[in-house]
Amino acid sequence: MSLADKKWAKLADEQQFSQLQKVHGTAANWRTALLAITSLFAVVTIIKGPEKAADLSSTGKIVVAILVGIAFAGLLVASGLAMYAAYGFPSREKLLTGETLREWTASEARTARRCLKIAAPVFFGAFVAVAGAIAVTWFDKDWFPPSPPAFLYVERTDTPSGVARAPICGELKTGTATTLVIKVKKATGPEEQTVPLTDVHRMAVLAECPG
Amino acid sequence: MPPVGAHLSEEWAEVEYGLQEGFVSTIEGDELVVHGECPRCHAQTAWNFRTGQMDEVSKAIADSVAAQETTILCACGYTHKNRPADANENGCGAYWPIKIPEVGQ
Repeated sequence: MSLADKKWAKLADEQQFSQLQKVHGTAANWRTALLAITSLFAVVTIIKGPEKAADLSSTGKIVVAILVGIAFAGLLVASGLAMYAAYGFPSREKLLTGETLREWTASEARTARRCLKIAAPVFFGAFVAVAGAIAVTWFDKDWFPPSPPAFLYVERTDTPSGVARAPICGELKTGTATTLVIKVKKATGPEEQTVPLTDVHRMAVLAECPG
Repeated sequence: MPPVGAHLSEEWAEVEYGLQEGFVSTIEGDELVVHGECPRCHAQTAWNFRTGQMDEVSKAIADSVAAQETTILCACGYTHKNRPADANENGCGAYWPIKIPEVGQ
């Protein structure tokens, strides 16, 4: 034991007078960081969001929207709690005595600490939601693959002169009482082809066109 | 040895003592208070411990530090000659280690 132990004992005793300042200082740092992250997230989402969302599947869009909503809400709640912890609200006017000041200081420090204890996990939850939203934008096609389009395969009757007509396979665009319009992929690009129903010998729905 | 409570008006001095016994702990308000006799000026003195975050000291917290050795100092409240104005204490200047007693013993 040495004189230093005595000094430490005195220092520990004096901590009660600076505790609130320390908690407020910690909360102020949290508030600054949270507001900066929330602003950055908002700006990135507003600028890049619509562009990225356009490439997503419909399920991906819903999942990302929910995750981004959760992240925003979480960041706002965490920022609000950190602000409350850093500043508090003006309390009811009362006579300032040593005892009331001591009680108020202890109560403020407790409240600020509780707010930060909630703000921290909420922030990390929001962070996980952001990470989830980013992951969905990256792996959207793997996680939510688009359902393969059904292709209509039409075998046609021969021409009146007896010449065989090649079958047509493609995406059915429209149909009427007398015709089918089928979008066929050709070497020159997609082309819509109208097939009279009178020419149809047989039809089948395929996952992929042959050849 | 003077009887308990018989205060000696020693001059203030930072005198180190060995491990002291005979102290008792109580929880008062939100603090753990250790009471006993100053080995130097023989006044009844008390030293308060708080949590680092202004929480109330619960019995569980008090139990968790029971038997731990810590240094306390005289806080008898009596005037002791030559106590420096910036000493920031109100005892005779003596300090000593104790083993924090269990509350209620």
